[in-house]
Amino acid sequence: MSSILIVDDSVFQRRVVGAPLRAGGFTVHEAVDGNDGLLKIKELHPDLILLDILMPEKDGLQVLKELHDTGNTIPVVMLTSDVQDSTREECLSLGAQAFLNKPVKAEELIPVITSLITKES
Amino acid sequence: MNHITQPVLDGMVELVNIGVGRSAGSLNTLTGHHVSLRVPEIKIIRVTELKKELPCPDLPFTVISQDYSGAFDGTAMLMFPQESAEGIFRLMIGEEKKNQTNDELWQMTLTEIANIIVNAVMGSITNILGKKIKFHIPEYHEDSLEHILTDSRFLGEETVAVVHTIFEVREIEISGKIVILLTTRSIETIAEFITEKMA
Repeated sequence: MSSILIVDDSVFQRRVVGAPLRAGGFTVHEAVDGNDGLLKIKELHPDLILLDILMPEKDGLQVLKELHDTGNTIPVVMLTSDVQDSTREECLSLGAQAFLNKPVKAEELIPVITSLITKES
Repeated sequence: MNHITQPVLDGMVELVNIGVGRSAGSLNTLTGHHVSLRVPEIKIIRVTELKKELPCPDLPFTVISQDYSGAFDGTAMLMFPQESAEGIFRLMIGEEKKNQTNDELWQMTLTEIANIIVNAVMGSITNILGKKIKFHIPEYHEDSLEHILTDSRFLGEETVAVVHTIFEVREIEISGKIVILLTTRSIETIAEFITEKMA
């Protein structure tokens, strides 16, 4: 069973995004901010990371940069409210495999996740 | 700011309309209901007149404010009348109005919805302008408008743009008012862009 780590400070988003993933057979872990996310990535080695950008303390871009600089091989999907083209380009240049905007429908999210996990395995 | 002509102001409304359209799509995805929007209205006023522009300053509102900086600096405020906030929470989470056990979820839910709407509006505008702004963490307030605006970032400004947009989800009788406040620098940047386009 594939595991996914949701890194998002919003309990609402973790709930909304996590529910259909659990129903779809994924094991879902949650991190409440960027620092927690980095700790849980090391601890849990998820198959995929769903990463928000706007978070207190350490934001998603900082997390992405750290992952990029340390040679991360786990696929990262950005899931953010930021619709700016420049943000999308920055994330993709830092190694994010996909960039999705909130709110995302399960039928849009799950194929992206499945495809990336399949590609990596 | 009084020198902004009506055609330029119309252009600003159009830019906002594009962003509002995207936010309507987001609300539709979130709620599963058709969301209708009224055409936004933009007024450029003196900060000292701001209170007069905003509705019911003595009634409690749920207000989420979000600062942004970069090509434009400013604050976007999304305001929900209390009844609307309760309706949205019920729709999203399936629970009645907040109590001691779901207060955090209440705040997070409304803040995240506001964040999505504000980003849809402002992000769409910056995409069209070819600019970039950085969004800061949204702040949740529950207070009278009058009190909230006492702490506004706009008190040092002479003028401010007030963007009014009303959205409704008629099937479930939810309505909300988006009020976006933009600083003078934001107004000037947007007005310059529109003027260039119209030249």
